[in-house]
Amino acid sequence: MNEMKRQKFYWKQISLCLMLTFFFGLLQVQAQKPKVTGKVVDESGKGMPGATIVVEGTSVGTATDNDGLFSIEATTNNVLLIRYISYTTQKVKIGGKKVITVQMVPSADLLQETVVIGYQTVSKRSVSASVASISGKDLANIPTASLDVMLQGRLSGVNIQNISGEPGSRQSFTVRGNTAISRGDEFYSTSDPLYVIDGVVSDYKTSTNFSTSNTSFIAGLSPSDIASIDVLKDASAAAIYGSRAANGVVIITTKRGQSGKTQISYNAYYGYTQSPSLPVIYTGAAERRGRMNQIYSAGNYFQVRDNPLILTDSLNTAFNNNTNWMGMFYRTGMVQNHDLSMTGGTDKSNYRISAGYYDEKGTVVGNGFKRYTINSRLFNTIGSWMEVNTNFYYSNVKTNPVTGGGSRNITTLNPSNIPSSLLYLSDADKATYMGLNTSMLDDNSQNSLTLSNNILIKFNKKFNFRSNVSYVLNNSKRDQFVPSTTNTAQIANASSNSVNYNKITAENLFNYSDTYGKNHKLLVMLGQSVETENGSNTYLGGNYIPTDQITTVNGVTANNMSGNSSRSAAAMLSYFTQVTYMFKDRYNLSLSERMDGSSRFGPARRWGSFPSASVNWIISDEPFAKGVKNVVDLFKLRASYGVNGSQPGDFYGYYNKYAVKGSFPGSSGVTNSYNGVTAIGPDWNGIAQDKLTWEESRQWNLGMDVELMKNRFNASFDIYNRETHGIRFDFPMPLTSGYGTYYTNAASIRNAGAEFSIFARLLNPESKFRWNINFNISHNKNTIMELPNGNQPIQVGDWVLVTGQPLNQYYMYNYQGVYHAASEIPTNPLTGNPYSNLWGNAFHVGDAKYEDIVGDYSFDPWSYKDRKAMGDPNPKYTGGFVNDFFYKNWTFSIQCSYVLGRDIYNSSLAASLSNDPSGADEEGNGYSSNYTTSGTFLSQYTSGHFYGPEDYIARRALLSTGNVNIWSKNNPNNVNATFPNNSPYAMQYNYPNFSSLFVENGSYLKINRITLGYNFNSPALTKIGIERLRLSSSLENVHVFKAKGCLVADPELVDAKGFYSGTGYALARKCTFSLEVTF
Amino acid sequence: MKTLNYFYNTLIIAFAILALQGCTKLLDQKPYDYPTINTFWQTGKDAETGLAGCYVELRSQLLNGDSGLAYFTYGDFPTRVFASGAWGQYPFEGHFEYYTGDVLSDYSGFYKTINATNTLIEKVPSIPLNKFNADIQTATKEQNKILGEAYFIRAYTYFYMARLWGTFPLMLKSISSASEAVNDVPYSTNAQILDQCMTDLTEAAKRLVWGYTASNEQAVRANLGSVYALIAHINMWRARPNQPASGAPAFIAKAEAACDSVINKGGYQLVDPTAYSSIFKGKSIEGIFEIEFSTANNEYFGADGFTSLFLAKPLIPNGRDVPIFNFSSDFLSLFNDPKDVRNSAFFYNLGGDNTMCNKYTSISYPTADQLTWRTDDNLIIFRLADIMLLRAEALTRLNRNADARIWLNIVRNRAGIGDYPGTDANLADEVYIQMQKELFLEGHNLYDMVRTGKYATNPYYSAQRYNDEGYYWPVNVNLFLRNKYTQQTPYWSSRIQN
Repeated sequence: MNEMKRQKFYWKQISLCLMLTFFFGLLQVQAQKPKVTGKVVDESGKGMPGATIVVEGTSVGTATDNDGLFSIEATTNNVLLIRYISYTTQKVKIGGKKVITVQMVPSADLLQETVVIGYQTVSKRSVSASVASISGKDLANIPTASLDVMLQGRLSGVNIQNISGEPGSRQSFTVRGNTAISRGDEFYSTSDPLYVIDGVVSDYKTSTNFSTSNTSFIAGLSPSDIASIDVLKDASAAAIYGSRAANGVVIITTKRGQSGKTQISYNAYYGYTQSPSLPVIYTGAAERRGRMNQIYSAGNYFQVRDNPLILTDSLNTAFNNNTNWMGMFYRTGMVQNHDLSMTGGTDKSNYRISAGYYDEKGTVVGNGFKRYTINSRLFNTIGSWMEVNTNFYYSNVKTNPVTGGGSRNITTLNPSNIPSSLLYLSDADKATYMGLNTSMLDDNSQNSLTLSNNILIKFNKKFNFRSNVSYVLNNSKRDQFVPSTTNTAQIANASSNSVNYNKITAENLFNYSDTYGKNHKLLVMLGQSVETENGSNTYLGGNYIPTDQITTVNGVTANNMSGNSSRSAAAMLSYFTQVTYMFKDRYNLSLSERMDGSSRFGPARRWGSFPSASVNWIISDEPFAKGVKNVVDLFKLRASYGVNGSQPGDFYGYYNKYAVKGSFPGSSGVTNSYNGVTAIGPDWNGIAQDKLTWEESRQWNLGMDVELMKNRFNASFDIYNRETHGIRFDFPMPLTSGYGTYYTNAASIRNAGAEFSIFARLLNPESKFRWNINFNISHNKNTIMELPNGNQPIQVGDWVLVTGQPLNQYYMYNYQGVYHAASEIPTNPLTGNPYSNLWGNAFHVGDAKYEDIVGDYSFDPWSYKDRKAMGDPNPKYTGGFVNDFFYKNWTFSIQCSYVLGRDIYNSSLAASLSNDPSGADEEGNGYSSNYTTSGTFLSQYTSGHFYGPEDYIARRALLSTGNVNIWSKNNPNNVNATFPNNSPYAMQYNYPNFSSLFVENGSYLKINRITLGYNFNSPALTKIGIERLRLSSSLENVHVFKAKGCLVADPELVDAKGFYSGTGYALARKCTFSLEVTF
Repeated sequence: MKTLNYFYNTLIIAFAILALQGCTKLLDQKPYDYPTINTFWQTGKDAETGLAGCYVELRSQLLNGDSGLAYFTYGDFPTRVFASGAWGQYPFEGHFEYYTGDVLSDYSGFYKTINATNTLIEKVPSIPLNKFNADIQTATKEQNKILGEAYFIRAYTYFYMARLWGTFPLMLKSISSASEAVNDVPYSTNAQILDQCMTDLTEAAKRLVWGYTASNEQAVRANLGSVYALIAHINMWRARPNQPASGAPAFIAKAEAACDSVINKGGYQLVDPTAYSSIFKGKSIEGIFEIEFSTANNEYFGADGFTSLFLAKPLIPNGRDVPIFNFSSDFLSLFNDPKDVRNSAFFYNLGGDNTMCNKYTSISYPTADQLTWRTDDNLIIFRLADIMLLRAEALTRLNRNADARIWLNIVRNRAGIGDYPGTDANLADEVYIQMQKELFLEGHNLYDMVRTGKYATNPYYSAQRYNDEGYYWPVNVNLFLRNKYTQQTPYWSSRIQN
């Protein structure tokens, strides 16, 4: 009775206690049986912790403790199965014994750690490909929504940049260098790898096309369900994925069921997320001083005389206001995660089921991310000849995305939109500013379901057949409502968009393996796969919703309504084979070939062939290496060559599309007609190109693996050269065709580099204090080899592609310092006129010295004529390191990542120094949040506010430019000035956008996280059924060390083209506490 | 066991082969959402929607640039109808102070209209007549009408471009795959281009008829009247005084004849002086060719359309306090006759503050609070008054002053200012003044100024610039990279660094 009362009390308390009590109760129910105790030892007689013991034919099981000891309930007739990875499973009859000692024997087939390559799982020792792997253990309790964030700096050859701090948003993820040529001003211009999740192939492009949000599609995976991640970097490993593997393959394997006693695990963490440090904005007296200084140091008589009232009117109630209005948009966020899993089974069948919940409240007001997951994996054997694996994954991701142009440019955070602190913002003003963040509804929900069935039929010991059938369903929906209070035109609008995507894949594989004599081993795999994809989209939108109480498209008149739907389908047929021959287990040759036929290409270019070959030689197994055997565990050389491909995201790229058209400049709403007749004509983006085909990357790789001193040191080194041909790009069409560009295979890029990774147990693994280091560094050199039209440079906005140069060079004005003396200003020898700007104004002392590229003694800061290719936004070195410390039950870990040798463009600084007189006033006029979600400008012309330039200057927030030494009229002899005269009256020609003045060194070293943990290991816990209990605390995004002279707040927050907007979603710092408990 | 194995193997191989055969068809996936060039152009309906596509391309090119202002920026602003306003990039003061990266100096967009019409002209003749209509006569009429309108659109587009840049590549074949496109296309001469316009108009004239069977198409779809109006404009343009004088009489005669056809055969009438605004609302009896806008068809301007830049309070109750564009006093001084009906028909508060053009004031409000608005005035390209004044101009050039007075006086009388009292010596000047007063902000005035030679004596320009054809726009610098034959227009070639 007492016990029950106590339970009731706990029920109302925190959920943790609830679960403890609940499972405790469960354990009590089990009937008592005779106990057998024992010890599992290795070949040298030392206790083996973590070996599993199962009573054959039952679900009763346990695992050994740190000393290799176990106890299990079993009767005399039972047989115990003892398993340990890379050791042969032992069977022990109990007979009458009460205490049993089992010695394990290392398994003969050298199965140590395994890696998943293509359709096979192979031992790491015998693999001949270049693979970077990480175990799911290393990803536990990292407080981020998406997996990619966690992998940063962990895998050699893999460069992950967290380009947005929006929870769950997509990050840039490249394997061995970028090959994506941007189609314009894209955020995600990186070549994404292919993802294979438990054998189900997914590519980022398709997943992104069929989603209503910017959320990373792997954000639907719960990290605690992941057993391992293997990144296939070289061609031979990836070649088996054929036409989709050109940019590497990420193989994600989820945890499967474990035979034995039912284990229930609960992991949870909870923590706070801190808003990032804001750009420094001067407020109050400091702002006034700064503005006055600008006006006095640069203004002429009239400008000083017309000093704006806002700076001088001390009767203004907001005169001493020192609110940084930007702060309105930030808050302290929260993150929490709960995972519950259960696994168990017999040696014939087992299961693992799990459920997870992740919730992150973003640091930007109005933004958040939630994920619910349910996964289950079931394994069954039927007789001795059939195995069935059934997997089921479901996830629901709910997001409230940030408003404005995505997480790179959050409109509301743009410093140029922030009013001066000297302005008084009424509640109504604030409501206009904050409207989209606080009162706009933007509910995005994505349901993903994956079902897969995998059947293995063993005909005999040598020959088997495997069939995988999977079904993926993604359903995402976005409902938006913009209330009338958020814009001055008081228009409320709503929209609803839903996107469906499904994919069915069927794969059939035959496997044959045989040994001939003692020395020859042959493995043959032959397979075929069919894949169909279907996508659809339904959109409904309405303007002029009659009242803000209606938040859906309802009560809207017909001509204020718009709607459309679309459908698309694609299919792929593939045949593949892989042959591996091993001689004496130390010479290994592997050949593979895949043929893909894709519906995304025209009939003539539909089929592609992707062969590969690889060899390895385990030198340490040679008889002559016997002498060093006790020091050198493994010394292996690898070599491979292969061809991979890449498909376009567009399903119908080769068709000559026609489009329904009608919009014209100044039109608003949906216009599809002329004179009421629906208008159809050529789609100017979709000209036919029968020759559209896959990109083809040819790669060789040479590698070396070394393991020393009983695996205390473990290192890999690889060099590679990957040449990607036929890279698709929007190539300009002739101007007389009406078409702007067409998407075609046009360029070639080489990525060559070297990778090194090492794992070292620096202190004796037997000692109480242990220190392990995991370090990796990758170097990649990116070069454009070939461009269309005779290698002519191609300008893509403010970037340029030049053969022999890296991808995405900036196209900019070459800043060469400040004119410190009149004699430095060149004079046109023909006219005698000094070097001047476009408007004929001569350069003066204190002005910027820009290279006169065309040599006409006229500098044009608007057009492209005085620009040239400069800089390199591709990182030269990337990598990371982890230090793990263990002392008794304590663990302590620091993980860092770094990027060296890249240029970034600080657009934020450029914007604040160019004194662009646009911006908002206190009523929000001119403020960009007045754009509706569809991008229509609602209020620009509804009321005119015209200010003189002085007023414009004074009405905008004043950003700090740090310690930059700017030349000033008041101090003309300042020879150390590195920045030119910044007169607010002379706009744009000292500080033009895309001036090399704003190129900064983007190298950084980041402490990603610090974790301190404690493992409870007391017999008392074991007695109450708790096998494992761990408490830990971690700090995420601890600190970024920047290069000298780097003025951006966070050099990681740049896109693949090195563009730092300063208006992106900054990465939050998180502090979390976590609990892991296993029963 | 062995038999079982054999059985399994056969089964699986058979399955694989079956799968293979069934699947290759899987790879033929066709788009659901749009036609392709191979599936379109099958029926009369396709031809009709394809023609609407051509009109849409024309409409969006004429309305290029911010707020759709291009038509006026090209045709009106250089005459300094407005005082310099807030939008400094536009050529208010005649010195064309725009930079060469400007969208308005990029003619490549016009090739969308050209390519769309080229495609239609090639495809429609091969659509079987019975796909237009079961009745072969009706079918032929329908097919001819669609083709005729397409020829007109192509001719108008080339003429429009020719007045802005003089020369450029002439494209008469459609391009519908990447392999058909040629990067570098030589320029055609101005004469070749204008000759081609006339060839197209001959083709159009063969196929089109006078008048409209459907009142809904009145003036907003090209007919024979539109064709003759364009023939008149092209020929008068070719006869401008800075061109060789020898060719002029023939061109002028052709133009005069075309005007005569329009006036006598077109069935057009000047609207009543009390109904001037009905011209701009569109589809009036005076309209010869217009681009239609209609709120009912969802073809309207939002609050950021071009008309809203000319307007302010109180014409738009919640609009801006003053219009973006303000008339220049020089221009307003033309309206010095208090009897002129146009003083009040074309202006709001002429002579007072905030004078606004109220030609384009077909405003409607989607909500009762009138916080935002829509406009749907038609863009008037040719109307009867314009053809009458053009005829008067042609007749003065032919020294048939008495005949010229007839057409001038009809326009004057409608405006309530009676017959022209001046001498024959000033007659041509008066025709030009009436063109300015009647047709301002209808995209004509610059061309009128150039065609009549008044450009040379305008205080903002010069005889030298007129002779150098400095009224042409510069060619956008980006076009030089995309076609090696690209030439800068003569006046700008020495003034702009490419």
